[in-house]
Amino acid sequence: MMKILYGMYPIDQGEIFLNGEKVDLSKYNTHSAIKHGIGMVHQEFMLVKEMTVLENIILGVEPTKRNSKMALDFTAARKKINHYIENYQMNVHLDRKVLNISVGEMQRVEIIKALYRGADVLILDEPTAVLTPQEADKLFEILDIMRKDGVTIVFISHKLKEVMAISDRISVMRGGKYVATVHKSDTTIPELAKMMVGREVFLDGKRSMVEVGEPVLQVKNVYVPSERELSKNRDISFMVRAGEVLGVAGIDGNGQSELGEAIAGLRPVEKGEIILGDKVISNKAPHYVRDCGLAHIPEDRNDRGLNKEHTVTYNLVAAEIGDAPFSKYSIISEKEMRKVSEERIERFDIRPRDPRNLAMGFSGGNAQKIVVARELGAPGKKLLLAAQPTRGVDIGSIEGIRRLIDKAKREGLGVLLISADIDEILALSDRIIVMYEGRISGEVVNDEYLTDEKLGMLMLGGEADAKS
Amino acid sequence: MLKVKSEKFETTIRIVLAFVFSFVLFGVVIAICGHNPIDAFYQLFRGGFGSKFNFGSLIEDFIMILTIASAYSLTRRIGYFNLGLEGSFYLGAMFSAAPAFLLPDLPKIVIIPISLACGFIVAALYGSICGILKAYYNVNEACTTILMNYVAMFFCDFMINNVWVSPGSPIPQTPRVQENAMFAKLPLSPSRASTAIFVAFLVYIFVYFLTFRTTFGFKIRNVATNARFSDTVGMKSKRVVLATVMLSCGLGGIAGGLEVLGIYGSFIQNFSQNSAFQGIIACLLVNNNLALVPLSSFFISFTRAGGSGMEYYTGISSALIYTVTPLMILFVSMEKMFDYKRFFRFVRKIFVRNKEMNVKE
Repeated sequence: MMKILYGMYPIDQGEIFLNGEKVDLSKYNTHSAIKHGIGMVHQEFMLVKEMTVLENIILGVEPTKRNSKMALDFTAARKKINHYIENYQMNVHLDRKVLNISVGEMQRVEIIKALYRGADVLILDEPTAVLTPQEADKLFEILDIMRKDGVTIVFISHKLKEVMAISDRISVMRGGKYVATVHKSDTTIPELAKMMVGREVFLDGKRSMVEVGEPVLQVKNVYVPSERELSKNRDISFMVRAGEVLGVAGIDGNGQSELGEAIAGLRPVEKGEIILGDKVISNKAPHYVRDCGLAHIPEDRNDRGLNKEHTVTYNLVAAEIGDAPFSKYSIISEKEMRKVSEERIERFDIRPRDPRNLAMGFSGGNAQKIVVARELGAPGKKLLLAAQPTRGVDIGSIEGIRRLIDKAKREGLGVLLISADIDEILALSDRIIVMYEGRISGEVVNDEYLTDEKLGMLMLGGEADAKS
Repeated sequence: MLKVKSEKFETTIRIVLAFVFSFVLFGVVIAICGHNPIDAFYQLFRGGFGSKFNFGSLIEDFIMILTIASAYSLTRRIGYFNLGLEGSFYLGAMFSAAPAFLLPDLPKIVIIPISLACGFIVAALYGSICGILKAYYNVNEACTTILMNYVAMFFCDFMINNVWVSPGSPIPQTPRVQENAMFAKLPLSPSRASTAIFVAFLVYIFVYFLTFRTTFGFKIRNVATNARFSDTVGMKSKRVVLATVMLSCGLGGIAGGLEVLGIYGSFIQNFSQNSAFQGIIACLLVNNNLALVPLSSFFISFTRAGGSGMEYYTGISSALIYTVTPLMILFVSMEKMFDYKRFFRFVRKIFVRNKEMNVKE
């Protein structure tokens, strides 16, 4: 919806009022949105990585020197930007390349960028998804000062805690429809959750305790290459045992994705060894790794997780197409595929039920359930590698998917849960390792003594000895 | 929600609509050129079906076009723009001829498979060059295949001028193949249409079966739409791409073999003149809908045979008929233009409005 407001998607119907004036919708686009003072910070940052922070901010509205239209006036720009930085106590280095700054800093750059364009309505789309708790707190402080300065802030989030922390008024949307707007003082978190889902939810369901068994996954001194310096895995070692969930926490881009891909066989391993069950799987093809017992929920369900142009049936059986009963002597049987997929759709509660639907029509939650159903529905799995399993999923399905992961644990699978969502890690994991700049910065047991702050410290590369 | 079946149905309708539109447009163009379009269409049909010879030469083209179209369909599916079929057509033709004039006389049942297999293998190996470049080094295939076509053509030129020379013939060609290697002719003389048509249909059925009924076809269809997904679920997408390209070029080679063993009896210099592209067009024409490929192949061969007939009888240049197919491709690719559902909705709206008005009156 916010993309409509920002003019990125065309408007079918309706009206927009801004400062009491009706906006001419026939010519409404991003450009006029900016002109009306709307600024947006997207979930995926829109920055040019090869340029400096300063260049990124002025991109598109470059100030020119008085005597020449061609020469850029960096001094004036710098002065104006520094004004914002001081005003909101933001820590931003103007001369660094965007490539080399942290995610939190990128976000601050995005905010300045919006302000620099004269925004007095600032839209933030899931701004904390990529931040540590500390960085999120810092962001809230900045937003608070801005609010006092008279900037209108639209804060989009599915994390209810944050919504409650920052907002004055809260509007709830469900399935593309407006549900209600409430004042913060009039509502509570469970009430909001109920509004969002239409029924009661229990996100903080107790994780089950299971007797742990033999190690299923051993990662020994592994080095994994990456395109980004910070994401290169360096000397990673850990193991996952049957019947336990090992959470991999960390801010996005600190090497978790690379680790996951290396285990799944999608990325080469430079040094070291990965063992699944009793077989070495490092530098082996994904097919071999799967045969060894890997169930893999990939990080990006729209790209690696699903084939959107095929039916649910095809998506559900794609990993096992070479095995009985789906094919015999390389000849596939649509009938068997249909039969098994109907059974899995029922078991994993994928809606709508019809297996002939194309995968592209599904909502985030149900699409992810297709992935989970394919991976956990297949027999003979030993390890579940779940990378960001509930990213971009509605709150009702989050609950369902987390339950499925917990169930997999009870059934004796080892689970490696990679997630940038601390709440998710805390809700599901028995042990947690934290990755920072491609290294493991600490390993902790998830018990009542573990706090968000301690995890946050580790995510920022702090030492594990902050044990208090 | 979108369903597969309804989508297929829609494309079929779209193709039919495109067909009608382009022929109407063709008629208009003929009228502008000062001829009678009805007469032209009549002569076009006479050119295609008027006599045994006309129909026979239609079949001659059909054999080659159907085989190439089936071959092209494979690579089309994975988004590989396989223009290298022209090259494999040449190589397949020459190396199918080679065993047939090098080996001693053998029975038909032995020599024909040997010949075709030989052409298939050489063409597949030729295709593997561009296939490897594409799959493992991501080199644009449109570039490599076109260049490799010339390599293949000049290599064939070299061979017939220096190694496998047929002495005393006016144009460079290989020696004639042994009589047993030739396909029996269909009863359509004096045309040269032969029983190779059965092999062409065999190739078509093979491609159809492979694409929709086998695990390999399943992989092709997955790699086609999302290679990264295919990798993740354990298909070796690069290998699938390479295998598909090799198979496609190999089948293109068989098309060459059918041409030599069915029609000419020897490999003649420049015998093809871009005819492989006709097969590619046949496949593009129906948006790679395999079920319709025989029809579109037949249609293309009809325009070829009918076009020369039309030229002969009415004086309308046969070049004009060749504009029909590009027009059709254009119309087929303009998906939105033939969104007939929207059209129906529009019509219904008008009707409903009229009814309402009638009621009011």
